[in-house]
Amino acid sequence: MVSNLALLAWRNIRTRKARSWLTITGVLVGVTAIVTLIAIGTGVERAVLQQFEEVGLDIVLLVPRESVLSALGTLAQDEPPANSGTDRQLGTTTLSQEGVLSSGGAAELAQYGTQRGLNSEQLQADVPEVTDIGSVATEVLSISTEGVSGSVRVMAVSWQLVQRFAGLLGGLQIAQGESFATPSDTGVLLGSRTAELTGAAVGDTITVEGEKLEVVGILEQSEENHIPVGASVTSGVAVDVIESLANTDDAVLILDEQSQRLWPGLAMSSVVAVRIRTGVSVTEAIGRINNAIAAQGVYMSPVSTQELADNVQRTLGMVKVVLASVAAISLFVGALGMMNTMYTSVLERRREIGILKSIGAKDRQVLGLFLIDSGLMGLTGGLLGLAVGVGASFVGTRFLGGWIGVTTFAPVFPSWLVLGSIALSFMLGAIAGVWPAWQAARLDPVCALAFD
Amino acid sequence: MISLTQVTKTYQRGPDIVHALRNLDLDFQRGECAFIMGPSGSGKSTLLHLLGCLDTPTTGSIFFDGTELARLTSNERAEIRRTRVGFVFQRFNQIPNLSAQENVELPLLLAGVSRRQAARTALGALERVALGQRASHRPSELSGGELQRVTIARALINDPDVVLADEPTGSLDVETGSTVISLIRRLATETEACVVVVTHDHDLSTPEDVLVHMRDGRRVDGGTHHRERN
Repeated sequence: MVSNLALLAWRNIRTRKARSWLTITGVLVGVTAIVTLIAIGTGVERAVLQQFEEVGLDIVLLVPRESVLSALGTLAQDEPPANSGTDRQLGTTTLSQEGVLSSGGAAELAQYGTQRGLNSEQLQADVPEVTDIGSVATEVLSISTEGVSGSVRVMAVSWQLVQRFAGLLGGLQIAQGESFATPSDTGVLLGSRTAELTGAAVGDTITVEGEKLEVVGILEQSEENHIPVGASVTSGVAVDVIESLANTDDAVLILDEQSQRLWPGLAMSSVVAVRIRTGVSVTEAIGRINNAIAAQGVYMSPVSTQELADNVQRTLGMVKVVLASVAAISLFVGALGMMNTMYTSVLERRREIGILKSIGAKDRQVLGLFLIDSGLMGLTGGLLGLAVGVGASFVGTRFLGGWIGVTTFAPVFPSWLVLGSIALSFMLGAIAGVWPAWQAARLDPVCALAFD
Repeated sequence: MISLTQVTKTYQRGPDIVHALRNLDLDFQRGECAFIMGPSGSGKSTLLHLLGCLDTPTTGSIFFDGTELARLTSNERAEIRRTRVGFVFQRFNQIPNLSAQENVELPLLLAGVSRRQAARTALGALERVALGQRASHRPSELSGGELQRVTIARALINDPDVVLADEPTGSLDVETGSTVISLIRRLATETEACVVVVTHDHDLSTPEDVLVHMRDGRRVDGGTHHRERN
């Protein structure tokens, strides 16, 4: 019976093409907007979270407390350093046409202070949940090669960091040469841009802060894995720290042991990365870490990557909800348009309703006929809106990716979005048709037949 | 088969009450052909609507094979219309966006008959009224006589017990009208249906038919019996 009513409804839609398509378009636009915004929003969310996962969600970063205050102040000014390039917080190296290196962000870097006083073994002993500890100390130092001189960001990384936290350093992919071989390796790795600007190759010797060092490897260019601006603003300095660690292009990497031997008196800003055992409450572990580092007299703030990821996810989730709500308004307007069409249709088809009733259509069949009519239009609009939304999402992703700083993401179409948008559009269509259909069902057949 | 006892029907039209039917007693039997005649406003169409379960009397009773129609629900009356009554209207009353065959299919589809079976039966019904070749045509592509034949095919597709025709020749020329009446009469005879025709045209009836004359909602043919034989 329902299939017969659906057939009759479909015949009506088919024969009233212009009006039906205009009505369907209203729903189509709404569903397209919802699908596009949610698919892109979910895609961004997943891409950002994937970046965190690549770094590791079981990591707690111990960031110098001064750096947090400093960085927050910098963010509040809303004006990056004039020559900051891609790295805003830990300093940047740029090279002019004449081949002179200059540093950016060195002033901010100076505020990080010395954090080399943290006793890693003691921390691991005090906090049994900690499985790995690695550190990276950063300072802008002078550099000279044949014909080029200036300053460069030197990253003194611990052996543990290289072995266990490579994700923090963008994966440490080697383009030429090789990575550090032993904890006491005396060589250096050059970031791709540093190598390009200095012209140094594997096997060459460069001079850093007066010390001659052999280049053992050159790193691959860091991936464009910037965490969106909105996320970094929300999550504060820690996101910037992660970003700057991942960007090794402008840096010279040296092992911590070697750097301490070469420059024992140098105050370097240090970030400590701690991995927490799986299954342990990060919050509880952070509490213990806080106590342990306070006991050592070191002033650092622990920030977990999970916490950052949660913050980012929360922010992006809110943005997604707001955007979807705006899109839902357009769907609602589409539904109102459909209600208007259906009501007009009932008025226009009064005589038809009379004919149907005279040949035995029951009230509920007339009701069903109009409900299916509007539901089918809603469903058609939903299916087409879904198809257009999928296309628009891929197009939107291409344009939006570069704009928000996440270039390697694709729209995501969760099954609930696909099925939900189809079901919602059918339901919305049917609901929009309830009042007109009820009006149709209640029509007195004699009056309806008399209608011209 | 259908009997009316002291049936009245009134309408509220603005501040006025219109008496469409007044204390009407009538009886229609299976297999007979009745012609209801009278001037406009005499209550002919109202009577037809009551006989066809499209409306209910204000007072009085209508019995359809012993069942009082006023006691039935709207859906039960619809069921009677679908299974036991066939309507033929003056204005043909085809759904303009559907083809002739799709219009004839409608009662079957509403009865839950499968689409294929409905199509086959509808085509057969159109062939019975000599319109098999025009099955796919829309109402706008058919002549008045063809349209009325489509209406007849639709009215008879469920083998009704009662065929009610409201001015079936009113929109047709004399010759076509005569053909249409003959068709209704022949098909109804085949199924032993009771045929009730509302018309202004005395010439459509034959000596075997039942005539009912009406004026101002009353039967005015004077006889004590409800039927007057020609």
